[in-house]
Amino acid sequence: MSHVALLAWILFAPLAAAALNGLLALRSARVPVPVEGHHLRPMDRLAAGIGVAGPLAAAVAAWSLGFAFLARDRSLRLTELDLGTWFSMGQAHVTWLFRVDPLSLVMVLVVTTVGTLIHLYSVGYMAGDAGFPRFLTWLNLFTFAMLVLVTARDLVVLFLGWEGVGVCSYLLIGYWFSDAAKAAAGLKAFVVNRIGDLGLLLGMFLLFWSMAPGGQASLDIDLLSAHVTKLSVPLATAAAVLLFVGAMGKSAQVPLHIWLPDAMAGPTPVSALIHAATMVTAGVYMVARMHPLYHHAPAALAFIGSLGALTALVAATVACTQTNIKRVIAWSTVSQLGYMFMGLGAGAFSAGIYHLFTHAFFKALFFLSAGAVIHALHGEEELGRMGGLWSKLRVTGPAFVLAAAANAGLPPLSGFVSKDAILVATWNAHHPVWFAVGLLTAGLTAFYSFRLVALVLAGPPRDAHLAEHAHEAGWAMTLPLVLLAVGAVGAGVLEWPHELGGTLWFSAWLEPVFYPSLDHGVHANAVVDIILTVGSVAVVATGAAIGFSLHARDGASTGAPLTGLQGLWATVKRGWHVDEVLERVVVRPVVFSSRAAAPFLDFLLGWGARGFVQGLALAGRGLAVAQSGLARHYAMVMLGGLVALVAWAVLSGGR
Amino acid sequence: MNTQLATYLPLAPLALLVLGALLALLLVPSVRHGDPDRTMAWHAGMVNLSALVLSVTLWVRPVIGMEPVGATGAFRATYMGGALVVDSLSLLLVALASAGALLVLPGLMAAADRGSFAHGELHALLLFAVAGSGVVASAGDVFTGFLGLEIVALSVYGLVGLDRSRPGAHEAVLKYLLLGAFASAILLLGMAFLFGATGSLSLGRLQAAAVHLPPARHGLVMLGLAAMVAGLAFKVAAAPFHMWSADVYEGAVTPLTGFMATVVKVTAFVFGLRLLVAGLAGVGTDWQPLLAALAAASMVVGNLMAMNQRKPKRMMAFSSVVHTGYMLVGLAAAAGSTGTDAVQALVVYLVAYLLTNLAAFGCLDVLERNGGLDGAMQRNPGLATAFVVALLSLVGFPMTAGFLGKYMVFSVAFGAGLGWLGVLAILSSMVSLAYYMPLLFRVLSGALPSPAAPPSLATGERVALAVSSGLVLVLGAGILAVAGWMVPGAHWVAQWALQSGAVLLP
Amino acid sequence: MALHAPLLVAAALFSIGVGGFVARRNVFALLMCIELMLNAVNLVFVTFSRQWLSVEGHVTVLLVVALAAAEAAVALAIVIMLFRHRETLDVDVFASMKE
Repeated sequence: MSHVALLAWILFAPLAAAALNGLLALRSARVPVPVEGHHLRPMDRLAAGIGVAGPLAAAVAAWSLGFAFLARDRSLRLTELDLGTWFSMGQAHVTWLFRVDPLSLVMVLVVTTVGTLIHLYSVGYMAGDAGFPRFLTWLNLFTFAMLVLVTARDLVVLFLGWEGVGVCSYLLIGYWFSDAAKAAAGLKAFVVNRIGDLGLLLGMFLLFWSMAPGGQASLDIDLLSAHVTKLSVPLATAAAVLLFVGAMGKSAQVPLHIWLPDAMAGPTPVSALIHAATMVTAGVYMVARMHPLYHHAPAALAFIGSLGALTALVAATVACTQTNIKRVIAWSTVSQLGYMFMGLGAGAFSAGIYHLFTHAFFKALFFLSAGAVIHALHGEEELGRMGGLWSKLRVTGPAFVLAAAANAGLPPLSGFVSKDAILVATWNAHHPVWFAVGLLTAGLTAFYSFRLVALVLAGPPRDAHLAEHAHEAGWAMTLPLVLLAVGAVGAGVLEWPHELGGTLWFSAWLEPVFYPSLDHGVHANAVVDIILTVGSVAVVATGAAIGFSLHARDGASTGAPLTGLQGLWATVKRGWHVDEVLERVVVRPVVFSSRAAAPFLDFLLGWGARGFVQGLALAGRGLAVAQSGLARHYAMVMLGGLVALVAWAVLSGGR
Repeated sequence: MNTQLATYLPLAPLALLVLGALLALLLVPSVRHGDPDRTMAWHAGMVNLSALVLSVTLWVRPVIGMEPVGATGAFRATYMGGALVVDSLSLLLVALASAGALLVLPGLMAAADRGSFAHGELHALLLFAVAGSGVVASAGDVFTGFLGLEIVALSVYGLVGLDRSRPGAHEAVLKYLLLGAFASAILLLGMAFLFGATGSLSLGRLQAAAVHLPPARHGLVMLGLAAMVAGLAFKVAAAPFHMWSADVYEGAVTPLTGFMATVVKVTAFVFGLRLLVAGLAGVGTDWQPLLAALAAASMVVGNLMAMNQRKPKRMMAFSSVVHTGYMLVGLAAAAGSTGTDAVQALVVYLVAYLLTNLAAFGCLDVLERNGGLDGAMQRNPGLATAFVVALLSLVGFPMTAGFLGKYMVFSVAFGAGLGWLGVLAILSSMVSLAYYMPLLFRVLSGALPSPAAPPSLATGERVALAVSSGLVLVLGAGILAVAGWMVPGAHWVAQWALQSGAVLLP
Repeated sequence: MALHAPLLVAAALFSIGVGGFVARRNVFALLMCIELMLNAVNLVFVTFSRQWLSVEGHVTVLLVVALAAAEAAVALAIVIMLFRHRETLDVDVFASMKE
């Protein structure tokens, strides 16, 4: 099959699956759910088949394309699918152009491969749910939107995918609509993401109009990349920072991270697919994709790296204190995303993307095995009622340990390799502070990962009744665990360090993409690299040992490990009070001083969604008083408007 | 055919609408045999359809008398010393108005059956409203345009009050009539000042006078401008002249609300285009800040109000105030530019807005009759899909007409140096998600109420909703690839919009 | 110079109309106020028509008079409908739709 045809398969197989499942979802609404329990109706079986087949076909096509690329010369590893013009008006000209190059292919492989496994897993996880085909429809649609995002050659088409994944995420987080908290979490995620999108759109418009004088008024990524050096540095920096604000929303960077932990209200496979493996990495991908722009704006790059380092550290501390199994992993995801941005900030684009790649495997594994634990305990998510499950869960247990170890960065797992690549890159790029923060974060990561392992699997059960009835899940859930575990262990081979006898295959693969921006001095000094690696391994091993031993004891609590830490512990547990602090510092004084101005200030300061909406509602209520229903009052308001217009016109028109 | 007579052919769509409306008046009392309702419906449908077909045909193949303007393929024909004009823009408005009337007709007839008011008056009034739009479309003179607007307004007053059994109808028609007349008087006052400053109300002479305006007359022009902008702001429901709209929209039967929110508003915008962009281009820097201020006020006030509404229909009323704000952004951007970009963007937005809101109000009407919004996707999948498409287009989601319009208008705002307004508009469309998304959610996955009953909607309503929501997608997709066959839907609209801009330039 | 007088009269008429429209509650009074406003506008048209020595303003005035008549016709029909419904001509009674 030709490469273009393979690309068409990659894009449209998930879309076709979504369409078919959508039709099934409409029909299945009329068929009653048989009984309580995990049974599939015949219709659900069909939906499951279609739902898994779509991403699977895309994955097969993606791997075929990958092997076809390998057989080609480096400079020829590019395929484009041209579906004609989307619209062309005035200066705006947008084409349906989808492109796969080595960078896009990495993303496509992650989305389709990990995606297929998660689709399969959700068949087991969601079985018996009344809206089963509907759930799969949205999951498929999400996969399609994500593929559009990573293959688009025009920023406007990328934005289509960007919004598409946002909508699907919103629908999937709030999937169990009857639960008000879950619906609110969906809305929060949506609104916070809109704040990010505001930055993205402004960045796009700024790029568009700043390129216009040179006759390059286009948002075609290749054209932009080719001409970006013509921009003045301040302008490029502004555009780069604005685009990054979009990435902050999508990829949960401080302070727009507040939505991600709440998004865990959705079904676990959703958390794994959207909020760990794919959607949240869209920001990282976008920044990497626009690397010529960022290369042209070093200040923006430094900003990205610093914010990434801050996010990594803050989120890692919060993860240490959480008592809900999914929230620990959610905060861990925020922290790892910060790590990726730190890598990008250091100019090590391929290291950042490589961490994205390995993270997709081990974090999906982490989430799915956590989901299997929750499933085994009939929906229990609190760590305080877990423990002693190692002997019960013969597949999930080892998978969980592997995921934790990879997340912690223990050698020789994939997490170790990619994390080490970023740490070395920050050191070599002369960012000792980022390096120190990264090292500290690595220690904390190891600590909370093994704290989790100890609390879930080791020791005596904290809830004997739950533990007794725990049962391993069916093959649809355990098979993805096994396959993902293979990926989480094996993905490290691709970038095994020189010093340990490996080849840097992954960065060589991405070299055609990043060549102009590539920092050729990344692995400058082998001796330094080895020292750094040994040091980080020591820190990680210490963290892991402390985390495990403190929490594997009899009667270990989920609270602070040392009594002296309790105050700090409580603060950190509330996410450093970011939500509350924002409310106290920003919102209340503003509300008191000026009720009408509150919404706008809230918005500017990027405050949480709920308060924002409430503030607006308050101002709206003020306006509603004027809407009294009396025609005379309306006439008075109109008269006021007329007087204002006349005054303005006459005063300003004096010339 | 006589060449002399043939030069009047471009007036055919307008003549057809006016004659059709007059004929309807004669038919109402005289049709006694058979099914009078049916006869009237056929008459109204055929007149609107012929006007639509005629105007599209004339656009595709201009006839004798239509002189080309510029290099875009635009054209113009003038009559009665310039008081009547037929150009690309007028044909577009006639096409939009008659298409809009056709699309609300099935819903209005269903409403007439339920509310038990006479079909005949309904059709006659609707035809007069469309004919009024046609007059506005062809106005080469400010007063002609004003007359057209008043014909539309008087007919719509009648339509709102037609359903006497509806509780809110009395109140709605009273408020609309009183405030409408008040606004018309202000508009007329502005016109009188403009006449005083320039000595003519003809757009052509206004255009020339505004370029070489003696400083002494400038104040009078500004006074007239402010009053006319205020009057127009009432017609398009821009804040703070918008307050009537929510009450009137709520009191009217929903298909009529759809007509008011789309055809009437678009008609007033076309008048605004002719008056400001063509007639007063010379003082563009003077009226730009006025429109920008109105746009900003509409976006802010509309959003704040829409957020607090519990009834979807009132929410939609305020949401259309917000959309007025976006359109005013486009109109303001047209002030500074010498090219056609801004007008083209605004016209694309008008088309997108018309189609989207016709679909949205149509679906809202039918859904509210058939068990509400919750879980509609499972009960009436086709209907709910149309509604979802309309909602996504209102939000400005990519791949829908709404996205295209917003993208165009926002980018011309940045290009015209109205960056702050562009930022506010993007901000506003983000905020607007707060009230659109819950509706989307209710439709897609709301709790399923009582056992599913088959929806009661007439075939005509089905067709109208399918057409309007389908066109929203076609326009949004730009090019629809179906088995290798390209349908350049958006391209036609873009071309027509471009030519509409070209005929306005001095 | 002589134009100032009619313009001042027009301004007074228009202001009285606007003031009455905002202050009065009887539907008929409101309609009369609108007539005042329209006639003020007519006066402005006539005045400026004389200044420019053009008939355009005069023609406009005739059309405005016709328009006012049409508006009054529709308005009276509506007033009758309202009176039958609520037996009052107080506009403030009709304020059930708000906020």
